[in-house]
Amino acid sequence: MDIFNEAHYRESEYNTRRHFLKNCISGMGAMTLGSMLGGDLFANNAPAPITGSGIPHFLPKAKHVIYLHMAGAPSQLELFDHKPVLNNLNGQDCPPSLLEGKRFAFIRGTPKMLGSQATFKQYGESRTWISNYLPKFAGVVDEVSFLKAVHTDEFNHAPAQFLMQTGSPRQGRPSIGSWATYGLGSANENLPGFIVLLSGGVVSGGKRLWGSGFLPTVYQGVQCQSKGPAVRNLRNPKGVDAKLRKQTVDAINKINEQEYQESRDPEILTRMSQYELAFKMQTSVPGVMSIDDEPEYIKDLYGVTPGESSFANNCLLARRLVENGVRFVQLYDDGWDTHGVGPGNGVDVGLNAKCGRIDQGMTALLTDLRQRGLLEETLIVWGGEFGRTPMMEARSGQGFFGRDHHGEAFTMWMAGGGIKKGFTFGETDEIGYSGIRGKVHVHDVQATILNQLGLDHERLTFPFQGRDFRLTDVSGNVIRDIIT
Amino acid sequence: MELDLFLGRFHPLLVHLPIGFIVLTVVIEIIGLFKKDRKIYDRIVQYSLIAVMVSGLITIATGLLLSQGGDYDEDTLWQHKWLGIGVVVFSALAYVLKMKIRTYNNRQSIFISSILIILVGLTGHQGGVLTHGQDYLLAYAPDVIKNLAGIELENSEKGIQQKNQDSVLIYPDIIQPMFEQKCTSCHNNEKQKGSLNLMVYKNLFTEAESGYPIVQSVLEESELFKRVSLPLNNKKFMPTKGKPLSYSEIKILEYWIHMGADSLAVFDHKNMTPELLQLMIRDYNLDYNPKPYIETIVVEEVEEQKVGILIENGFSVDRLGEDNFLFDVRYDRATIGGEQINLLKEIGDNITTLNLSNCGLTNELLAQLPELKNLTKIDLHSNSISDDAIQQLHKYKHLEVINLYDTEVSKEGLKLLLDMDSLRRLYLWKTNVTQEMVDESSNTANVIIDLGGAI
Repeated sequence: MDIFNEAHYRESEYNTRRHFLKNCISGMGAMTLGSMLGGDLFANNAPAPITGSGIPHFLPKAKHVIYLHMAGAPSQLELFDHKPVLNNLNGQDCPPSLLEGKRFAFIRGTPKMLGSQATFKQYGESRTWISNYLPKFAGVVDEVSFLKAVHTDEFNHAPAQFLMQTGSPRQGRPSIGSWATYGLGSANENLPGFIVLLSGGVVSGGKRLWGSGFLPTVYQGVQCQSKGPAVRNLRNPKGVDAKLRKQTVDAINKINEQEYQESRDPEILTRMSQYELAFKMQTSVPGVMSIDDEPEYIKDLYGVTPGESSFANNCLLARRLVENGVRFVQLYDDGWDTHGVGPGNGVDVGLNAKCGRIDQGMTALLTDLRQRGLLEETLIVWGGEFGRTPMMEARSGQGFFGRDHHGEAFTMWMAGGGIKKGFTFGETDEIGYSGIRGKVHVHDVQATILNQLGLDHERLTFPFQGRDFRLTDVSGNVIRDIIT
Repeated sequence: MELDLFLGRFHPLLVHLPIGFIVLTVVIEIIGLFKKDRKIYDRIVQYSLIAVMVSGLITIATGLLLSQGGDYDEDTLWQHKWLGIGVVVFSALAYVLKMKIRTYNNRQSIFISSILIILVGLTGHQGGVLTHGQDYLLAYAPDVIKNLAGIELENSEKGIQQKNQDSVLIYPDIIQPMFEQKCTSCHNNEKQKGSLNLMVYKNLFTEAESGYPIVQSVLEESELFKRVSLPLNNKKFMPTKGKPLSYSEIKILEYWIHMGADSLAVFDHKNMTPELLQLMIRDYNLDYNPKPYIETIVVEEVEEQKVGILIENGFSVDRLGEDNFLFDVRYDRATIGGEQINLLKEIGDNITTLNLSNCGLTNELLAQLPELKNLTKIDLHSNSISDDAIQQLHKYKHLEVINLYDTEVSKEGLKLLLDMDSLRRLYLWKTNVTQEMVDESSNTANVIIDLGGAI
């Protein structure tokens, strides 16, 4: 018996006489109760909505988001936050006032101050300081708004990543992408609204970072790969063609529909829509996810290496996905944890090399989106989960210039989607230890992302375990200063 | 826990049972007063009181369950709870008395009836307050009754907030209330210090002891403005007692006098200083900064059916906010025809952004594009469109963004595009337009032209 016939058989089996009687009785009861309680007896039995309204709260500035998360946390002091005073203090003991009452992930005792290993110059009409680690990006700073004094509550990777991506340091909350698609839906019915692309290694927070938490699982991020099949387990098995697969999905969903009518479990609806989407994706995804048909000059612009899971490839894919209406594209690039515990793990050579692997890709992404007119409707967010200390970590003794985790001040940037161009907001003290002006919290960044999509972070809620939850929990203010 | 609430929610339904029985009890008791043989009435009252107790106990039980939900003001809840219990206890008492005395005398009868009714009334009112809020009973009462009840009538400052900001009049809505707050205790109809009366508009231009209070458009000669803007310790400073005018108030007064001190003058961003614009936002929540066109559009709701037809024909239609009916419309299929283009007419006024990119659009098809009076952005990239089609775009008076990358537009098209006053951004990557052509063009001041590539 093939799966189609089996499904058919199971379906008839499902509708036994007992079933019929049971349905009749409970149906009568429900009708009476329904009218007693003021429900509309003749309301159609359309499935309860599992989506948000799909309508933004107010006029959106951006339709899509591309979030470039540098997992492991890049050093702001080697990339964007130019601190000449810190360079002068290089090698001196860290004053106790900076250490008292603080906890660091690895620093013990009295560390030495560590000047920037990069050299800085001003670029663009905005005269923004950018280091020699990002020579290509230096050419597009006039498209970008920098947040120089972001701070977070966590100093370990996984919790900080959860806080950054889900608004809570513990796992189990929906990610920003899930909230966005919950609020707005996907703009392309053949593709998931929230797609995740990985490069550089495994992210500490793991798959939960793009999980949907308590939101219906239809809003979970779909992880795609630029190497091998775009989505795992999406191909039909041998002997199953598209027609049979369609019949199978239809049959399964018919059963699911009946089960839903009985149990009213919204997760069944989610599952049904996922079967449908998975089927559609079998044809839509391979096309979108193949960068082979891009012209050579575009491949050169991004510096892609076809068949690799590189950051550059993912940037190009991100543009293609956004072009096709995907709401939220999340890139994770791992390998930024520059403690200096070995050669190539410091903020000198190691970080420089790492920057070399993203510089061209992210610059090309900005340029390419801009020339297609997509940048004005796509919000780009760049940042790690925290920053790095102005002190040298020196966990393994001498030799390598490393910095410890530091949540008190770090740099993020945003571009496109209604964000000011060539603008810098916030400032850190003269050694880049903490923010002294324009301090923003992770929740403020999240509130701003939702705001650009036309969503009020205080109104985008979901009831769970007796209360309404939201991405920014009980805090968060939109950073109006960087919005056009 | 869920079951608790489920049962609890029957409280508002059940609560009317004891109320009904109490009313019945009282009515029967009163009718009984006028009858010679009261026996039968006494019997009914007894049964009725039993019904009050039974239904009352059930109501109390569900009420207690409902209160577990917790969303209630605690003080009110406490009162409501004990009043409710009081009703049942008092009914029990009445029942016992009835059994003992059988027939009350008239006074007892009226006394007991009144207490029952008052208790029920109070309990019911507290219940109403619990669910509808403190002021629900008199929220819509006529002002006379509100006055009697001692409820403060809404003051005029609140009035500004409720007004559409374009209809806020400077004098009656801001300046006159300010006078009343800070000046008229000395300068009114009865008492006119310095022979100045600020209750009447025309007196502002009548000479008083120290000069003309206001001289239209001449700040230096307007005595009133001079007096309120003097240093605080100057002995001519006004007001001599009470709160001085705030900086915003002085600035508004200055603006109003400067603009001619008309009693019907309104704010206009064109002649407001950036400072005043900011002050109005900060202190009055009135934003007079010029809005982008898209934020000023007001359009009617569209029948869902019309949107449905577009979707069936290959369009995506996204609404752009709960507070408006603007649409972002995109054509998703590979080729578009005149038939589909015609459909756009149906929701023409509501379309503010339109994407017809990469769908085989030609000059001829573009010519069929209907009037879309609120169109602010159009994306036509990757179509075989040439200069001849550009003239068509001139009918869209509010078009700010045009995306024509990967089309055949060239020099002539660029010239036509730049003739459009509303244009702000123009995407011309992969067209025949070159940097030289852009450099040669005039009126590019307001337009960002993107020819692609690195900046």
